[in-house]
Amino acid sequence: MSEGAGKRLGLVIGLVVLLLLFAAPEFANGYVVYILAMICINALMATGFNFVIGFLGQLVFANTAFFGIGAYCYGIVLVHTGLPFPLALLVACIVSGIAGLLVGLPALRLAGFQLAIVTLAFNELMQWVYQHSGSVGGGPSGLELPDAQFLGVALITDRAKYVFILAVTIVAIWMVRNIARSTVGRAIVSVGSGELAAAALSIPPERYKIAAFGLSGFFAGMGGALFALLLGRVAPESFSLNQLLLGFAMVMVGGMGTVTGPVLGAVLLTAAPEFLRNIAGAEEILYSFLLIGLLLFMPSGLFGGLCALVPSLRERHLGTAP
Amino acid sequence: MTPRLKLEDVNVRFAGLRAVSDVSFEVAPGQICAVIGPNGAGKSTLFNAIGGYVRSTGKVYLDGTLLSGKAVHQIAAAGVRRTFQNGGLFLDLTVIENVMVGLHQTHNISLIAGALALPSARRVEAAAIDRARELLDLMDIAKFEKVLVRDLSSGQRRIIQIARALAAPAKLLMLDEPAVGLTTLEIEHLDQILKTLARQGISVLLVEHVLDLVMSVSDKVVVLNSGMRLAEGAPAEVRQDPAVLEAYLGYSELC
Repeated sequence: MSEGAGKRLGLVIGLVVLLLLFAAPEFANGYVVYILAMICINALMATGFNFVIGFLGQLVFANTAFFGIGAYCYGIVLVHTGLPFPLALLVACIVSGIAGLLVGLPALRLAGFQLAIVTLAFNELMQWVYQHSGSVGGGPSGLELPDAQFLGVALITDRAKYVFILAVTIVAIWMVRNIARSTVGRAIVSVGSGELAAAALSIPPERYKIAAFGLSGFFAGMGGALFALLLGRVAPESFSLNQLLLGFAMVMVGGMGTVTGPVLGAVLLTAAPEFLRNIAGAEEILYSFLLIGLLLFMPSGLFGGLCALVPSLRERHLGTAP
Repeated sequence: MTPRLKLEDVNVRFAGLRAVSDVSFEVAPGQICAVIGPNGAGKSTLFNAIGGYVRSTGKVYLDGTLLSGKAVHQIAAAGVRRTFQNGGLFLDLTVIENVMVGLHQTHNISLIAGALALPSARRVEAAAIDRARELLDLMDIAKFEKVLVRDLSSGQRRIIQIARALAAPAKLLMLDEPAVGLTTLEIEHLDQILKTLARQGISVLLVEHVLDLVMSVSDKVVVLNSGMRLAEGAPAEVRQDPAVLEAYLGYSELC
């Protein structure tokens, strides 16, 4: 198959999948629609995570904190200011992006296990903050959120929420793809690959490390805000260590350092438990075997494995080039 | 005329050891200057001192502007570009992507323009790709454009390093043993490229053991031994210098 034909085929498949996804509320039951929305949310969370552990190649565990900050910000803005929900979503993304920039500061001095522990501690710190958030964040019991309504658009049913979440996710992943292919993406990847070599080409390593953290916070926070929208409430227990491990597994299983990988990981690891649930009693064991097997036989993740089979799928950090 | 590069009493100490001692010399615009000397003479360390990779005392000027004390990326932005003896390439990026990272300074896109793939961003990216392809053509490696650097030989990697270092408007190019692992044909090609660059006014500082190349391209040779400048002069003078022959014990003549 020629390269052009392959591209056209890819485009057609993509469009059909997109149509099916948007049409899903018409033919799928509510449970499936809810799972699809969770896949979008997890895809954003894993995509955010990937900016630092994949593109920048740093062992960082603050991701669930960004996810939680995004969710809480969305909730707090909605409950306490009454701003329209799209604005609350924007504020949530920006605040978690800023949190990302701040968490990036220690990364200028630390790396490896030290950075991992410091960022893990940040996660736990945020847990404490949620618990002690008093009337602002609802403390241990969390916040009940009002309906998302704006200009006659009301996202009340899971179906309506899902369509909105899907649209936001698609735009966000498209933006991440563009960033990865632009100077910013190349600079982040080059700093991750060799700090001095990047600096020798006039790239300021500090600036791009911080940028990777900011982007990580922004997109993980977006996932968190949409999560709060879907659930209609925020509570501390949603942002536990479990959630962190799940995000980490999604990036690993999907394929680190790629745009597609984390999305594939989110699809698989969100959907798999739902399928395995039918096999009573063996659910956890099968899920564990699935994880171990995938990492053992596809060390570069699902997407890495796919690329080995179909090299033309390989993602490049290049813009307009064919 | 202001010298392109001027070193004044540059010193580098590692835990009491003087790796570079009071080295001073100048390189004129468009001049090719080789730095030679036995292993451990401090040649690479001198490069690192000029580029800001190690702490040094003394002063380094580029076109009369003081470089000492600046960060690596600032010195690179001022026009000092280099290759590395080992590593220095981004192994999991393709050849053209590696060169495009080298274009960061001249073909930069803001985060937002890039994220939204605005027409301005697309234009800059397309121009960057064209420029990168030009460089690949110049170095005769266009056929490797889409190959991962990981899959190339060490000789090919050295050529890519040069292409990448040249991507930005360099004033001074520092090449650390660029000819190691190159075939005779590739060395001749490198010889031509260096002479072309010099004609364009780019100064070249060259650490090299392949003395045929050194003697052929250099306008000037600086000999280092134990971190000190042992001799300096035209290639023909230096190869007759008794002190230099002494340092290269075992060589009856330099080439």
